[in-house]
Amino acid sequence: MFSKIVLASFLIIPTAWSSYESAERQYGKGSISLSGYRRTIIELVNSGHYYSVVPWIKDYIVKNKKSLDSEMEAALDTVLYHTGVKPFESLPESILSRSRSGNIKYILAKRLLKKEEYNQALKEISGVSADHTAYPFIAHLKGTLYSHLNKPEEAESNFKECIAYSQKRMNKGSNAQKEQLIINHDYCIAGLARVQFASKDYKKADLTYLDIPKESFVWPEILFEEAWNSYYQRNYNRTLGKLISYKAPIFDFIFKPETEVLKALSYMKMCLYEDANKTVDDFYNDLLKPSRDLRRFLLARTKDYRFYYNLMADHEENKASDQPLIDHILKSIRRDGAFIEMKGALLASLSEYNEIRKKPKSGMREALIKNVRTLAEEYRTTLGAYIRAGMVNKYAELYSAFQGMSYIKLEVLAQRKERLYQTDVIPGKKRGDVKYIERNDKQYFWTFNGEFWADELGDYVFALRSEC
Amino acid sequence: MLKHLLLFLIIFQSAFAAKLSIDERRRKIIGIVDEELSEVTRLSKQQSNKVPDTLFRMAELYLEKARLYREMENEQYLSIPVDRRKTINKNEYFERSSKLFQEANKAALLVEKRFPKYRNIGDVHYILAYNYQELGNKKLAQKYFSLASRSSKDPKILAKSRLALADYYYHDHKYKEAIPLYEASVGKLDEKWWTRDAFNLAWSYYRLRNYDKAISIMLEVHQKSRTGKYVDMRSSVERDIGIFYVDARRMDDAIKFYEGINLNYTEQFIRIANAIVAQGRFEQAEKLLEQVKKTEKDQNRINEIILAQLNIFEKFNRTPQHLKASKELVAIHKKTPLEKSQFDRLSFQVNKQAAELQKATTSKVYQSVPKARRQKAKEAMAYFALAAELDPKERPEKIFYQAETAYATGLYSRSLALYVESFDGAKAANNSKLVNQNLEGMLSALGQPSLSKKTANKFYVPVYSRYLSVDKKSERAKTIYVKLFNSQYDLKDITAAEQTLAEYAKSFPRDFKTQEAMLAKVMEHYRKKKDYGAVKAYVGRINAGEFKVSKKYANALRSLMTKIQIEGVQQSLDKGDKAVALQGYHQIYESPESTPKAKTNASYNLAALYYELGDTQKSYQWSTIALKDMEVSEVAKFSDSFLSIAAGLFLRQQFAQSSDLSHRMLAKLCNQNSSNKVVAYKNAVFIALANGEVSKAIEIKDYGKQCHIQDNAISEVSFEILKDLARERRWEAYEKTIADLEKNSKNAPLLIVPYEELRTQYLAIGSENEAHAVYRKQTRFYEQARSQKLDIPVEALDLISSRMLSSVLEKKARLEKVELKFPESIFNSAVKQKLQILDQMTSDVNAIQKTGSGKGIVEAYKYVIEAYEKFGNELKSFIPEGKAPEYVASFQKAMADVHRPILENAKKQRREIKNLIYKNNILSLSNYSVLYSELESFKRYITEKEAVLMDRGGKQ
Repeated sequence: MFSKIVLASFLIIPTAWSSYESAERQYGKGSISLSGYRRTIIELVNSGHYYSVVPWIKDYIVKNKKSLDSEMEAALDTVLYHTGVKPFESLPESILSRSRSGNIKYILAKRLLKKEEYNQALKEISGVSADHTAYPFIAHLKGTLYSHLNKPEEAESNFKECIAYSQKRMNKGSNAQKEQLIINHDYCIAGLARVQFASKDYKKADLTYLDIPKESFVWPEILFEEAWNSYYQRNYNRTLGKLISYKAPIFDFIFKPETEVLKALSYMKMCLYEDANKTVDDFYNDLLKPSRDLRRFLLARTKDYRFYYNLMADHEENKASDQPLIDHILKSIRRDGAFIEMKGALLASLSEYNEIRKKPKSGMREALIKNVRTLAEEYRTTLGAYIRAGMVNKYAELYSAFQGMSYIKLEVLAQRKERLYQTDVIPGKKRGDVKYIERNDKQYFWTFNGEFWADELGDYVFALRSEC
Repeated sequence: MLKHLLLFLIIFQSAFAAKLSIDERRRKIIGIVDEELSEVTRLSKQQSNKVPDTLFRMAELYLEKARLYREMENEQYLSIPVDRRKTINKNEYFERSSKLFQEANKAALLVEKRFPKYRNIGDVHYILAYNYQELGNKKLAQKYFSLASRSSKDPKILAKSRLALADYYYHDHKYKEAIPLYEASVGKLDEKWWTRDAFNLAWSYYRLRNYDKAISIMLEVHQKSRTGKYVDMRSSVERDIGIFYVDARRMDDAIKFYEGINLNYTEQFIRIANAIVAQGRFEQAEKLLEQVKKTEKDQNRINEIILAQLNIFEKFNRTPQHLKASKELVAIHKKTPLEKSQFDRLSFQVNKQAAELQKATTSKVYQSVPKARRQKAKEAMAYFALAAELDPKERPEKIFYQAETAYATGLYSRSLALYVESFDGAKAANNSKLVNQNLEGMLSALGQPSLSKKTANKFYVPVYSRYLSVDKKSERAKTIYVKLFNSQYDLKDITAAEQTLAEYAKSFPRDFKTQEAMLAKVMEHYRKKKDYGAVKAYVGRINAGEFKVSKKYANALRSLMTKIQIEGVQQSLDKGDKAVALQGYHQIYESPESTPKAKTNASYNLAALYYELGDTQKSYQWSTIALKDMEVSEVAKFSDSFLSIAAGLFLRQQFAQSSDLSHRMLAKLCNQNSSNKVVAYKNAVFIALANGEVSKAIEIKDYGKQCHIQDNAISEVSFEILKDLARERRWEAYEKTIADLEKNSKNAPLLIVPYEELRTQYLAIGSENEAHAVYRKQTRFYEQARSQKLDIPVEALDLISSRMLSSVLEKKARLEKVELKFPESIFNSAVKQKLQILDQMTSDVNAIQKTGSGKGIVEAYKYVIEAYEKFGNELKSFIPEGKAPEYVASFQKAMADVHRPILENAKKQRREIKNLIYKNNILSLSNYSVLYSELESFKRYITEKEAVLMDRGGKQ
């Protein structure tokens, strides 16, 4: 259920300033030694050329066998702040591990997390001090790693630190930085709730989830987790209420097949077999063919990432696809934090490209133009790969949901059958009633009148009597 | 009444509603299962059939559906009336569920094949096992139960599989394998079933002869069954533990056990015995009863034990043991009568066994195994004997059944004795039905061909006399009288036979045929004994009408009398005492008491006797008498003897008597088809001719036509008569006879020579026309005979060839007349003419050679050779006159070329005729002329007249 833990990228504050001219001077003198290279990089970063300098920094990191000096480290941090970690994630681990940079270690730890080398990842980032600008993000990562290592206490402690540090620092930096920290803060609340959930402390988790404000970027997906949490508390009316929020037009970008599975499951748990069956059948009717078409679509395009990039570009220009399901998925991906970050970086790199072109012609200018083109191209490819991966994941979710639906239907049938084997008592039907609604301290009761209001999202609840 | 009806309706309706409800619910469940199957199929398809859980679920669903359908099918099937159920195909009723079981199997097998390491593979195996069990495939069911019992993680399935497998092993008598499985699963599935499973476990131990363990578990099962928490297996334990104890040789413990639960142990053991008999365990049952019989003192219970033994012996066809026990109980009964129920059961057993064994003896099954069949018959008879003892009133009937059994088995001798015994008993009891049944049986037994003569003889009289004591007048009695008579006669009990004859004459006075036959035998008996007085007495009784006989029989009686008369004489003859025989025959012939037949017989025998004694005159005399009196058929029969007598007369120069006797024979046999008739005919003619009585011969010859003598025989005697007629110059008769012969074209070649006799006579009296006519006729006969390839007598051939020789001689004369002389032209012409004549002569010789007459051929050659040689030598020696020597020399040289081939030809002809003579053995007066040349004339001697050639003698 908590299959995906999103780690948002973060912004890093620049520490030095220099000038383009100074860099050109260094470059113009034709020094191509490692030390000369270093100077050019620092000067360019100081002059705000974060994207065009990326290939040189990566080259420097690879060629420089020693640890980065503090000035160079600061320059790297600055660059990472603007470009995000994506351009550097492709560097080999052996290269990354040479760096003492907190940011580089963060990148390395993420790589290790993906490889499920949790302890090694923890080791890499354990030395990063709390003073480091990346610390709130590192605490977030540590919480996640401990969760994976099934160490709820450590995980909870780190998530709390993440929450505290994010809160503490979000008023100090720029707006962009603040926004990153707010998102990191909310994800860490979610992480905390997830740990509680994993420890089967559903009530605590319930309250923790409610700490995430509705306006938070992460809230829409948290709503689903809340629904599960209610489910595990056997508060199926609440689950259904949470899930009904996804029907609100404001959430039309969300494509989450699992919500329907949970809905059917909830009906089943309340022995509302016809509702459960209907949910299953509707799901099959609505999505079976489109999902098969999607599969064919994905298989036909294989790994043509540029195609996917263009597909999204068309989508962004409101060019509808032949398959509404693909449009729906693309819409969902567009609202993904990682996608937004990468897309922003691409646009920024293109902006820098335009800036450089305005500079007088020189050898460095030409080299920088080439660099920024290369980077932009990398961004496009990465975006294309991300879009494809998003679509593949959605297909996998669909596949899994279909199976889940079938299992639910089978379970429904099995229970109906069991009833026939045991008894033939069929209870009278009376569906909605307030007395079946359960609340906690942070929930208030609104009269259910069938209307939806955006600010009411997530607070709906059903009042169905269990027929079990 | 109305109230009751209402109550019934309510009950009925609620039951009906309940039934409907079950059906409805089942259908709803099936509807859900169908939905599930549809969903699982969709899911599995989506998963490309790669998820074993889904496939397994599919198997489970098919299995569930199959079970539901099987329940419904079972109900439907069981609702069919039993009679109809027997006639229908059961499989059709279970078709649907069987298909579903197979579908379940298919899915489960797919899982097993594709996912052998599937975590729930044990459950899959269990489904397969269950399915195969339902489908009746025990082998595969066992295999999969075995797999499931090892691989399932579900303790219930594990226990179920082990129990199922244990049951299989148990039923397959693999107790060693069953025990650990029972032990591992007993009580695991459901505690209350502990007793049931432990019971099987106990049996398994028992089967492996671990009796103590088996008993210990049984006792525990019994103990637990009392508590009410478990399935109550007490009755089974009480039933079986006895045999366990018995086999463990713990009878005392068994008795204690039964006494401990207040059960009479004898009754228990009997019950156990009966129960285990039902399971086919005869040996144990037998052993058990034997043991308990030893320990039991109470006679009544002993009787019950024996009755139980009878019961099991009967069920297992242990007839010898059954018979022994039956005898034992019958003996007990005779000593102290049994209780009624015991007596009834014993009687039932004995009679049933008797009946079944009797049935078996008559069944086809034992037809081919006579030994076994006979054994069964003996046993059946023993049972009938016991039945007779049990019920003396029915003794005749039981003995009758014994007899019937013996009869059916071919023990006819035994059956006869039994029938007789039963008959006497039945007759005494006035049981006419049984009397008749016995009579039928004994008659049938007596009529069996396999019955030995000795035995039959022994029973004929007892049987027939018994029959006639009941029935004297029926048709059957008629034959029985005869049989009885014959038996008595054969046993030489003539007095009894005469009595039977008298009885018969009373019962069937008009049946003179049978009376005659009986009389004949009786009289024959007396005749053989030469008690002619008794014979005559019977004749007198017949004449007095005491016995009715036919005319034919009366004649036969007369014949018998004749036979009696002849008999003595014949015996003398057999002994070689001919004089006594002659005297005897003369007495018979002359006696007024003798029958004509006896007289005729005597006359013939006198003729024969006198012939043997060489008194031809008397032999002829008695022959004529016999021939006169004898029937034609008798004459034909004895014609050889008459021919011999006639021949004897001829040899003794008694031609007239010989001829007369032959003539008389012919006259007697005239209309008979006898080969001796022709002999007599020819003899009569030839002997008449020999006696110079040509006219008589002609008379007899003509008489032959009336007697239908064949043509060739008449022709044969006619040709002989012709010779005598010629000798006596009776030409008219000759002409007539020859004319008769000419009517048969086959006689033509034979008539050529006789005609020559006639022709000569015509010529002698100057009747040339007739002579010429005869000549032409002879030529025609010859040509006709040749064309028809008939045999022509040599004399006729010689006659024809001699006629052809005259032409040769005429040419020879002509040849000799032609003179050789000069001048040359005349000489040449003469030579030419002579050569032409020689050529013609050669042609004539060739023609004569074709006749086949040896004499003619030799003669012809002789003339031709002479002609050639003479002409050749004439040419050789010819010297032209008045010619110069040179001319003569030249002429002779030239002539050499002419005369040499002529003389060579003559030589060649000599060689030819020589070959012909030797090759064909031709004897001709001319042989000398052609075989020898003039130089060899010394080899021929012409003797004085009357001289005879003496034997040369020789080395001897």
